[in-house]
Amino acid sequence: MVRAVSDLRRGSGMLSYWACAPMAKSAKDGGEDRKHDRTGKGRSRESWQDDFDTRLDRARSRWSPETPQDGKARGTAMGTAFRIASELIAGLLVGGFIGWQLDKWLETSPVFLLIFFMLGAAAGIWNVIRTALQMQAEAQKSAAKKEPGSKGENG
Amino acid sequence: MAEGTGEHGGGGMPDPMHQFEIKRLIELEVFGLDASFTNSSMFMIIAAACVMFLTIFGMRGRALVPTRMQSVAEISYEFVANMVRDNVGSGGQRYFPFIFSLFMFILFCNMLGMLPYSFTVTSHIIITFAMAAVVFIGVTVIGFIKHGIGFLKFFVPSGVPAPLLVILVPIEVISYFTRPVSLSVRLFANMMAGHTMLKVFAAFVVGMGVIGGWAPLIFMVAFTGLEILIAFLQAYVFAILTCIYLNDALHMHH
Repeated sequence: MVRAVSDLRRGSGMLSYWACAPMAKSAKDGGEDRKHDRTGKGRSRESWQDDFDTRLDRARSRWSPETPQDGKARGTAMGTAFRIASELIAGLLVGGFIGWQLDKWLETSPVFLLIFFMLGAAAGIWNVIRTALQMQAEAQKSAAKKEPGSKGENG
Repeated sequence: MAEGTGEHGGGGMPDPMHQFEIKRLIELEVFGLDASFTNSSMFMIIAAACVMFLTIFGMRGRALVPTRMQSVAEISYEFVANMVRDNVGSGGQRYFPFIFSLFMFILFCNMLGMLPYSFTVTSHIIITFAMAAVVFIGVTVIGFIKHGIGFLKFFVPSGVPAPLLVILVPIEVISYFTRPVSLSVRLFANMMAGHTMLKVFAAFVVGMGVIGGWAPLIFMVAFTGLEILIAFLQAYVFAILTCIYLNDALHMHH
């Protein structure tokens, strides 16, 4: 039984605690059942493991409802909104600051301020575009991951 | 947040910025520098102590079926571990302790700030900027250690004709230097704006009395909920951007 639990932990990487706690219990029950099975019918360890994996998958799908993911997605959407806005402002700030300091140092006011303000704006917009592209790629990836999962549940 | 501390500004209205005031609790001077122990330092120590209490005391039992406190510690561990694994990729686990400490510290600073009469450490830009600068300098050093001078290629976009590089390289360099600024401004601005707004609306509740005060009070309750979400979200964003910057430094894909 203990080995089954540790196998489960090692094999499936990070298991959420809420999936783990009930699993530990069912592994115990199931493990004892299987022991009787094995002595009776001589089942191999492989099929035992197989069976356990399918049961693990079933339990996992039962224990990971859709709602938290939705909440997380909405939360991160707000996070990325803040991220994009601050990226734009930070570009202007940094560009302006570099230009201002260069002007102060070289006494060429306002040449570098103007140049670096423009460059800073460009950098800010470029950062926004890059973030947006990254978000889009992630959204597509998670959508692609979600599709077969929902199909499997229905079918 | 410290709403309702009751200190009044000029015209009878409570001063919404009063909550951000730094008070020296223990005067201290080191080599002519003011190194006093302030209310800010105190809340930083409280936040660090809370994190330590949660992780050390919470995990003391090491039960297979965790207690409530152990679950909280485990959830936060797994949350950050998943974040590091998904965003940093290979070789990221080495930096997990740093990101976990960073995330937990910011989260507890933000959350402690939500308690009445407390002080929000992260509402001061110097604190958030110091943390962002540590991340920025650390990531840059890691990049140079990993790739040597080749890390400079990070600033040269591939597949661009030479004349355009004259414009694009400065833009890339500036966009690299915006990282600590955007990282720190985001956290500080969110915390400060939210807490100022709460204080202003708290003043409305008092100012409008028993009859009219209910509307801003209802708004405040809802807004406090939003503030708690933002407190978590900003800690999350800070940590995840640290992961993304680390990933850039380690793997350099553009």
